[in-house]
Amino acid sequence: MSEEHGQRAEKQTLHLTVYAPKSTEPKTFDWSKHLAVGEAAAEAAAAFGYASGTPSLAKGDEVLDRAKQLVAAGVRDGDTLTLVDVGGGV
Amino acid sequence: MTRAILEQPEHLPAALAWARRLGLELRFDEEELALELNLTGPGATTEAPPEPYRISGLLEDFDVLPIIWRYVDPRSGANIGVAAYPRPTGSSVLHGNGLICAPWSRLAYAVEGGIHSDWQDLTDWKTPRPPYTFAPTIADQLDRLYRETRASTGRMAALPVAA
Repeated sequence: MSEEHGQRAEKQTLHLTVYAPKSTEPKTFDWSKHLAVGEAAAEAAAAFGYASGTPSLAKGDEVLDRAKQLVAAGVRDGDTLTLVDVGGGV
Repeated sequence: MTRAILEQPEHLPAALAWARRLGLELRFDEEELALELNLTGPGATTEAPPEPYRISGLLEDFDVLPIIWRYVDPRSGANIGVAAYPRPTGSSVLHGNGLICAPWSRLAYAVEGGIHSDWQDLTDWKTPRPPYTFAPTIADQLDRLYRETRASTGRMAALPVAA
């Protein structure tokens, strides 16, 4: 693979840092930018040891749409995200 | 028992670290087994000033039983009902009666005066109940309340005149 092709391939992957409220330390993930937010969140939730729930990711105060691809939700390479649960109440 | 549980990494240490990450001051009263967190939410309109809130958590018998979470008067810590609560947007744990309505909120259960007679066993609070919110640790619960406060549209009722 040429160097140019390699760089293109790398750009399809986002290197992200994710915090979970229950953990003092973050974890890092390399995800395809086209992975759905909900799928990424489910992988992160499992990695942090959450047994269930409706996980999503938040970028700052904004909770991301689980159905969107990471790139469509505004996630960029190097971002720091927070794992959140979006299950309902009341 | 509660103190030993609280010292586990995923409970009080994680909650304190969570607060530090967000630049918040989470206060823990070890003698009273109580938590307090001051937050700020948007005003009712874009022109209105931000609204102050205070969340109180009573940890007696945690984690056998869920925490007694309340929004209280941000000036005094008194229970003032709906005036203490932010007005929610979207799918919310903030009930219009002035109640945090989630399986992890002790006061949501009918046996504690809440509205959920369908949630029978207080000790079962960590069992997932899809599609309801799942927040098994203190920090998960605080994070949910923080985000709902930040997304709110003013308070449910005006603060009473201070005594």
